[in-house]
Amino acid sequence: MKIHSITLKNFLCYYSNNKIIFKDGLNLVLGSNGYGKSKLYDAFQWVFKDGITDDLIHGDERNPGNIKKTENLKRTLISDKALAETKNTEIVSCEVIIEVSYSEHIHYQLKRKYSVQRISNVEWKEPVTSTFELFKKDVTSYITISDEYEKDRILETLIPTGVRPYVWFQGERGVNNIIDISSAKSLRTVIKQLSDIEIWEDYIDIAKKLASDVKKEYELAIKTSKSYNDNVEKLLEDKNYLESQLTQKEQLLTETEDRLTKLTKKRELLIANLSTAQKIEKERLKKDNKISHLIEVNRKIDFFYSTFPQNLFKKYWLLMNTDNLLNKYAEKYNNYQKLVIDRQVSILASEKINSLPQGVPEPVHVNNMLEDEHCYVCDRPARKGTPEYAAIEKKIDTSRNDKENKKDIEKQLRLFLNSGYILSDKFKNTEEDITNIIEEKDSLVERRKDLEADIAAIENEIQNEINNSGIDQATDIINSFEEAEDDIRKCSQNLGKLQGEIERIKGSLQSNSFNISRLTKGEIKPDLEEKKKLTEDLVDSTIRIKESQYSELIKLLEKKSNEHYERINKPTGAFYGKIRFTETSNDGYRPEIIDDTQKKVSNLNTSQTSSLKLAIIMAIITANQSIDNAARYPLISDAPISDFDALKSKSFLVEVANTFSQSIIIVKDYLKEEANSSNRYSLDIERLQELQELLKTNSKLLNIVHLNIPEGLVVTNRETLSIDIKQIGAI
Amino acid sequence: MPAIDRLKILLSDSELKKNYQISDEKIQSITMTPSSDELENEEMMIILVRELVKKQSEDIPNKTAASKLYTILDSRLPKYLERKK
Repeated sequence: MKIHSITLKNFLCYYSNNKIIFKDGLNLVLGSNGYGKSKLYDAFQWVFKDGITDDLIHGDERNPGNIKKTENLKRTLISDKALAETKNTEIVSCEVIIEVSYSEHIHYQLKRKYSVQRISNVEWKEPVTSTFELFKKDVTSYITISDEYEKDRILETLIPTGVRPYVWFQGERGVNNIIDISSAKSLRTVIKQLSDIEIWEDYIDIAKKLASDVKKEYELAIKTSKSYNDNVEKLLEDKNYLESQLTQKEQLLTETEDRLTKLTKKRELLIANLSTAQKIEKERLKKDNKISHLIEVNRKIDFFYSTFPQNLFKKYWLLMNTDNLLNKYAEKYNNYQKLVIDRQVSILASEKINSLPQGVPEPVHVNNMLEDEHCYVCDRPARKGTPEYAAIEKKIDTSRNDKENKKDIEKQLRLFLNSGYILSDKFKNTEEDITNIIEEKDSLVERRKDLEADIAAIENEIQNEINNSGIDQATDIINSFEEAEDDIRKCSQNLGKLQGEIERIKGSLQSNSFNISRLTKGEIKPDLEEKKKLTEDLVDSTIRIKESQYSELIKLLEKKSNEHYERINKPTGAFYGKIRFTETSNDGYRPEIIDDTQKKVSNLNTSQTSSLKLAIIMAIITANQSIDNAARYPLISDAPISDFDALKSKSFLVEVANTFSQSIIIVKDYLKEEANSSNRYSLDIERLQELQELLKTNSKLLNIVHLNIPEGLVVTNRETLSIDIKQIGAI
Repeated sequence: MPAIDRLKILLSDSELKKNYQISDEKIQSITMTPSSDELENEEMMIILVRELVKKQSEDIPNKTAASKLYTILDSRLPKYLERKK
């Protein structure tokens, strides 16, 4: 099929009549965001599928096609501007006409139309169906094809339903719907859809049914044989039991395989966010670590403030710089001592002349003198109540009190001086101590500032990552990923266990069959034995052949994928590796990128993943050698290169042009915002010329269509919106 | 893929070739519509595989195809075994 043109009348944002002419080669439709690119893709879908891509259910597993039908879209299919201009009772329609040819002489026109009538300002009469008309060109005019069956047949001939998803797709989501690389069975499904491999599965089915009929005949023959006895009956019972066990285990195996596929898919989905989640988690751990440090620093600062006043006393810091006082006191104490000695000397001198020296006589003698009422110093009586007695009495008090008082004062003064000396030792390093501890505190305050700044920076980093990725439950993602990994490991182990059990049951069945035939030897007719052997061998053979056919197709697909993959990636100069389809334990194949050492490359970026998928999709088309799909069906893709840089976009477009005889690629690339007018874009002529030159080297043509909006309009005001289509052609 | 190619592929299965002595020459020269003489001398497995490929191409349900194959096998096998003796 070749697409010649598409006409959009009041369809979505395409107000009034808009016609785009397509040519052989690469048709590049360029438009910025909101300029009708996806709506153009929707127009193709609407004509062929009576529905458009439903963004709301994007990614819903229940509806992988994501198609919303006319019955659910109704007047939203019609341009808001056209609806706004429609008066009460008036009818307004949208329609899309696609002109195609199947061969040089067979041309068709496909037209889908939907009309509504305005009842009031807010009410509309909206039918649930659109009308589809198909016309065949007859020399100069178009003849209507009214037979519904014929219409379906022609549509299927133009582009088979099974092929359409591989040649018509939208960006990443479309690619994901076509080929889900996380599902090991995806490639088998692809092979099944695009090859005649199903016929081999039919052969297996027929052979199994035939073998089952023969088996029934064989068992009946055993039961009616003369040798049939308890032993044979027991063996037959065992056989039935083993067969039911086998069916059960095989069912379990299928369920486990499905579970493994789902888990693998879940893991793949999580992997996409894992590195970001790990980064966020790492930052959080870093933040927690910093917070722990901050708490410790704060504790030390608090300790400083709480212990400083205590240390003024405990560590005698208050006495700092009081050395001069001690010196003064020591000087005074020395003077005092000197004074005391001098005074004692003078007292002694005077007492020697005039009286008894201090402390003489001893108290015991004084007491004796008082008892005897006699002074033995001057040897004369001293009667109680006489002045002499009183003089002796006085001697007792004076000697005792004077001595004690003097000693006490002296002691206190001496102690005070000694304490001063002891203390002076303790506070001699106080200044240094205080300087050190204050420096330490200042350094802690600085550290606190740094830590607070670090924590704020980490928090900022975390928030940026969350905003950019939309991941706010990083821990959940990491935990879910680990759980999925664990479940996959367990599931794979179960799978291996089940496969082992199935093999054992098959072995038991074989020996059971051998025992039955041994016990009934000679009883079963040779032709029945032969029939049984033939049909069982046929089953085995068809199974083996189907597998080898799959394997060959997979190898071919791998080869073709690599050819496309290399051509898309090589010009970029970046590492791209090689695609390998690895057989999985659950009987599927998973595409992987391997490096030169044959090791799987993990954590592919979106650009690598997209080019991997696009290369496989191209290979699905080009590997099918029985039909030249690439030449027969045009590729229509909306935003397939959104993940690519300029170099890769260019090599992808060249590859598309070289692979498909006609392709319509709708992108926002190759445009430049006009300097003097925001929201208006002009073509990036330099890059387009470069692309055109590259295509020319392979004799491929470039046809450019530019989607813009009329000056003065804004894409957000849908009631005035229309699209300005410029048919640029070649540069 | 034409039915004859699928027939050749099926007969090329190594186990089948070994167990039923199917030579490469035979595979190369095999046809979907052998003459009665050729049919008379053919291995039963070859006949069976040919019928399988043929019946599947008739666009009939697999169950019906299996029944037809059973009838063919049933009717040809005694003669084949007789000939083998």
